[in-house]
Amino acid sequence: MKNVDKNENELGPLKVSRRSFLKIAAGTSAGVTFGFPLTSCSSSGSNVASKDSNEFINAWIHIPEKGPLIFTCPRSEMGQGISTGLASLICEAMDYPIELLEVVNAPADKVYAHKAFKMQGTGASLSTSTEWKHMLKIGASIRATMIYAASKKLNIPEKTLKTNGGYVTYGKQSISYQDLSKFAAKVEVKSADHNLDIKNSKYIGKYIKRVDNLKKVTGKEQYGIDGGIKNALSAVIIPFPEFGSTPLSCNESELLKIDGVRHVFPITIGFTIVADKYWQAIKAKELFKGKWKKPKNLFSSKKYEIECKNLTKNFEGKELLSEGAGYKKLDHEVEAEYSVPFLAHATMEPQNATVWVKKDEAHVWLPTQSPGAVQPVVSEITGISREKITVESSSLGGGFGRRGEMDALRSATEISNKIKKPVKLIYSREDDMRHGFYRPYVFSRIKASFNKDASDFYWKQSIATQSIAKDLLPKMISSMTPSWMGNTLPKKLGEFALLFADSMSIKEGALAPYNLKGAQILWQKTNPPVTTQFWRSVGHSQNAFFVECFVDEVAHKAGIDPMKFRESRLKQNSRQLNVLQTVKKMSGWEEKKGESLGLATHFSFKSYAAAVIEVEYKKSLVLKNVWIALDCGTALNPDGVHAQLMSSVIFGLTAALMGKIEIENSKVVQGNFDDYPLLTMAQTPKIHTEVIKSSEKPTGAGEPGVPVVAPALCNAIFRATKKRIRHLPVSDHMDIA
Amino acid sequence: MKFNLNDKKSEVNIPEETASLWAIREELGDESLKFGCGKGVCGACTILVNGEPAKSCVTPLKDLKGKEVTTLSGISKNDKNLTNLQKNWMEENVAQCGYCQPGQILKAYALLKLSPNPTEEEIREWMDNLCRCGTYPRIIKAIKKSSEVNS
Repeated sequence: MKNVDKNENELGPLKVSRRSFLKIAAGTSAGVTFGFPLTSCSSSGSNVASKDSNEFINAWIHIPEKGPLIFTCPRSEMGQGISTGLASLICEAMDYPIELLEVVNAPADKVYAHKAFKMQGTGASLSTSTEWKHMLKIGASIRATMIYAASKKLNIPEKTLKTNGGYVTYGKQSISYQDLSKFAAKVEVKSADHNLDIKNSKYIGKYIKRVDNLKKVTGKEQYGIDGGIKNALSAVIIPFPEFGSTPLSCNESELLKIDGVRHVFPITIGFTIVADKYWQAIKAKELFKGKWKKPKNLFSSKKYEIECKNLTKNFEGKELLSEGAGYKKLDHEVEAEYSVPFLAHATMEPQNATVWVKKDEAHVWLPTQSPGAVQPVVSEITGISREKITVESSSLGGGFGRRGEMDALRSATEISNKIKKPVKLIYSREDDMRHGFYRPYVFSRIKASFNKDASDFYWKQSIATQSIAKDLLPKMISSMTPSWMGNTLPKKLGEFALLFADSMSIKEGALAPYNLKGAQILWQKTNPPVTTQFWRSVGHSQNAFFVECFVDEVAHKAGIDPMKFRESRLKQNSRQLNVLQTVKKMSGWEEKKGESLGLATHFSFKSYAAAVIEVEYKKSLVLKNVWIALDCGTALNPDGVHAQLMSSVIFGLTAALMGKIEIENSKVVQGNFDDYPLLTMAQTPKIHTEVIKSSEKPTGAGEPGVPVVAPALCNAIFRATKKRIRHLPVSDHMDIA
Repeated sequence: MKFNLNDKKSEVNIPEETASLWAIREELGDESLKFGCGKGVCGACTILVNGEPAKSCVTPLKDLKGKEVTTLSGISKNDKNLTNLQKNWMEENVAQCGYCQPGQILKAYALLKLSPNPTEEEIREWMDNLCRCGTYPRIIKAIKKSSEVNS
């Protein structure tokens, strides 16, 4: 593409292909396919091909000769609505009706690498903010190319041509993009830009229907447990009962007598039973008897909690953050202990993977947040080169960070590698909950000192917890490095990176934004045998709870209204103050004088959130109302942001009220939704959401609503009951209606 | 075992204790019903047996004998003839990940047959299927919109 805007240098040259859409949507008709590779990839990428190459698969938009245009969505759709958001941007700029667009999930390919992560993955509420300009440019360039193609075909000057909903129009006549597709494949691709103009937009900033609605209301959406590779055998796992135990032997000869059971053998994480059908495999699993080598030291989360508490007693640890002159003792001082438990992601769709390892190639069907990590993992296990591994992404029945993990894929690959047949592995709910990757337990001791009116205010905190990065970085680095580096070097690189990034998820959002004179936050690093993973909003999920509840304690001690306390300390005219005052107004804070209302505000994923929660306590806790507001810059799909806020409130309430994973004798206690309950519809309060109107650049929406929920809830409980909840979940302290 | 699945005569010849969830998914190829918990807690596997909601992961195949069984695939003839409930579900952008939605829609469908104008209280009590994405407020809206008085 000539005339590439210097500021847009992440975009590489446009490529155009006449090839049919072979690898993405087999069976679609010929036409024209537009792909827009990233420059960083195109320089080394083998998939960026010339016009006539068979290898061209980095398709973003395919215009067939007949039928709907097809958009390949580069990010994983796990409910957050990213496929709708990105499609609306392309359709706006391309001038094509979004309701006619067909959206398919991108296969694993480095051309879909995330600009921030440098690998193909979805998380950190970054998809919209990193892709929106790219999508507009793709759409605008396709529209410009269609106009150009029409002008050549019809021999009419370009400037007399316009577009209207998928047609190039001239006078009273028109020609569809599809009818132009064959011709468009032969012409030069035009580069164009689309300036964001919400007022005159059809889709951006307006109510739009989700592109996946029809599939989801008719039961046609395909998740990992559906479809996939034809005639796959069904596999179940019997994972290690304890963290750190290893499989020794089992009653395989007995199990192999059961109808349909084909294979029983040990794998890294335990044993597998492979049968013709899943119902046969689960029947055999009920009769499974195994022997395990247990770990020497058994872990107990109750003991670990005490260990963490003791580690913080003297406010010791590695310095995570410091502000101003550090901590100074003034006339008034308060100190408190807080903690949050281990938490499971508990996606509605249990973890699963479908894999077919053949002699020198492999196929994968997987619901994943990290398509970019799939080929390295399968290659590591099978020795098959990454290029010979095809990966199709299904839709995800929930993600929340859990589907960045590759555990189900690893086991399914091991199984298929051994029997060389296609295998669909589905975890039971108990496997999923007991063999997951958890939000870490965090203990936090905080003290604050302040003068009489709290105009001078100091903060000191010691946090005891484990590093998520320690589990994750080595795995992430091997997905980001090219295959020639092998597996050892990336691991070393990961260990090196850990020196710098170890504390990343622990300190995010830990510093109170209230004009502290000085602060010091320390970290006591622990090393329990519990596997961890990012959990929706990551470190913010605990830090907002610590900060916003403890600030409430300080305000209470100083005799200042918690709203006024925050208002007077946030910068005038700041976005955070605005979002706080928005929920103040929504909730009627002043009229209700703060009775049984609690509030919190927090900045995360570059967005500002605030919430006020109203509760009532009569023998048990009743949730009445939640008012929540978010400033995520320009809301490109406001209805989607409202949905994410609602979702964040319910996700946050579930965790704060009753979320808790306990470990006894190195075994996870909770196993299903009966002992790890989710908020029900009957328990859900009225939720009032507001999305701040803004012309700032778009920022995160999927996660920043979560952190404010737990502190606003516990601050409300304090006002209703005079009981300060410092250790989650709330259900440990009172009954919930 | 013979029964009608979405108005079609169906026959499955596997052990009658097998959970109907897997019998329908694996033997009859209807994958609209989902596996969530395996012990009748979450409702992702909801089906209708003679119009009444049942959790198919804990409903043995033998309980379907001679019955009319409905899954989400069976409540509308095709994509162009959706039920009012499905249309309103789309209008309200209810679904997020969508995994629990087949169960939610069937459960709501059964409610409207029993009580064409449910109050919000009734909706909240009846709709006990779990949703991890937190779509409950929009489910309530979609059901209200589909009630007789609003249709």
